[in-house]
Amino acid sequence: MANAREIRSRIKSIQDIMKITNAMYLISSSKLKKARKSLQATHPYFEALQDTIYDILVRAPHVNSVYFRRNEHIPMEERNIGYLVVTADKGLAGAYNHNVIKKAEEEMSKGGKNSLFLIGQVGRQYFMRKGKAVDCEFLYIAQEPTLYRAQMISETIMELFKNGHLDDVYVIYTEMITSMKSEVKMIKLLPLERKKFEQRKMGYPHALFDPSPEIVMQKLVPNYLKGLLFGVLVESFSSEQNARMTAMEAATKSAKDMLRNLELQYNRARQAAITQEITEIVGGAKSLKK
Amino acid sequence: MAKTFRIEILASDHPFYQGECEMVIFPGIDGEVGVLADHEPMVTCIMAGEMRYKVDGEWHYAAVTDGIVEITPNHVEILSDTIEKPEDIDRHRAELAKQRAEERLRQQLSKQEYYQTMAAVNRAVNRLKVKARHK
Repeated sequence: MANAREIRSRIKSIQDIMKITNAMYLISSSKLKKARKSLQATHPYFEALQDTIYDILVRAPHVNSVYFRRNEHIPMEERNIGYLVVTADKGLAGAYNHNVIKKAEEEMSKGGKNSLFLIGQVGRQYFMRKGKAVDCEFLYIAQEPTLYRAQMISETIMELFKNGHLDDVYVIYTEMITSMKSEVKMIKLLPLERKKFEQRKMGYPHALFDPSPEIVMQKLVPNYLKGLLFGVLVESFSSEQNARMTAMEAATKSAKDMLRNLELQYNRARQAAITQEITEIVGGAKSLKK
Repeated sequence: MAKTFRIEILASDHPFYQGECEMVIFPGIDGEVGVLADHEPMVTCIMAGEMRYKVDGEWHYAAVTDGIVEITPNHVEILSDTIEKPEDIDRHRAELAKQRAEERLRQQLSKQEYYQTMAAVNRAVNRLKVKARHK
């Protein structure tokens, strides 16, 4: 059995760490409250935006727009595929970062010339260490998402797409489904998928595009991407705080369990030491009497 | 009472209004667009400016920025970056934003920065206009 002083120092160090995890739990729970509020405000917009775009694409006549450029003549191995990966800026959020990175690696292993656009420090550090093609000038943080940041990101991506540096662009992020459950998701940003004719036959008439489909698309797509990315950032940020809160709660709980165990061991060790001392004294006294 | 249709106005940071509406007028790509019930299906964009919609014979006003509008005969969906009621607009803040953007315009800017700053000026001016009109 370990001696009492060793156990004492372990108890002390666990208590110190518990203080940290508990503080982080409190911080992330208050951040989560804020994040959830903005998520609730943004969620209807985010959902409606995706539905509306889907609807619009079903109704759209043939539009000659750069955003639909599929470059089908380029084979899979030659395609320049951009992945926009949203991770956290810090670790200690359970499996949150890990899940996103795993999904990104899985997608990247499918081939093509991949390039990564990373939002959040954790992902950037990870992929840079792995020596992957990371866009170094693409520096955005994941915290406190703003519409302005979403706009900057979408403009960068669109510029690259328009210039032909990217053939496909995907975004990988974490969606918060319920407060207990979140899931890694991937959405194709560009090119826009033109919906097939079957759906159109099912009574979807063409809609009028005012003043012309080309002009509407030219304005609509940047707007759509900006809104979509904003939604993605908000969802991810919320999931991150949620994951961190859960992780820290679990850490605090297991620290408490460990403390309880160690406390028991410590008491036993102390008891044993006292018993031993008494035995020694008694033994010593006896031998003196003789 | 005039025939109504369902309207959903969503800003990126909050749902602005959902419900029945008699008429809506918004700034389109080339001029104002008015929509009544049973409008032909249409897709268009909303530009920075003043939007108004009529509920129970009463007009409501709002300052909007860029966005998307989808119109079907009995449903109109307006998605915009920001939508504000005149009473929520902070004149002081809008003026500061305008000054800041105008100052930036005087500096050497890249083409992209120039457009962004111009858009910022427009937004601020638009806010001030809407605020001034509905004191």
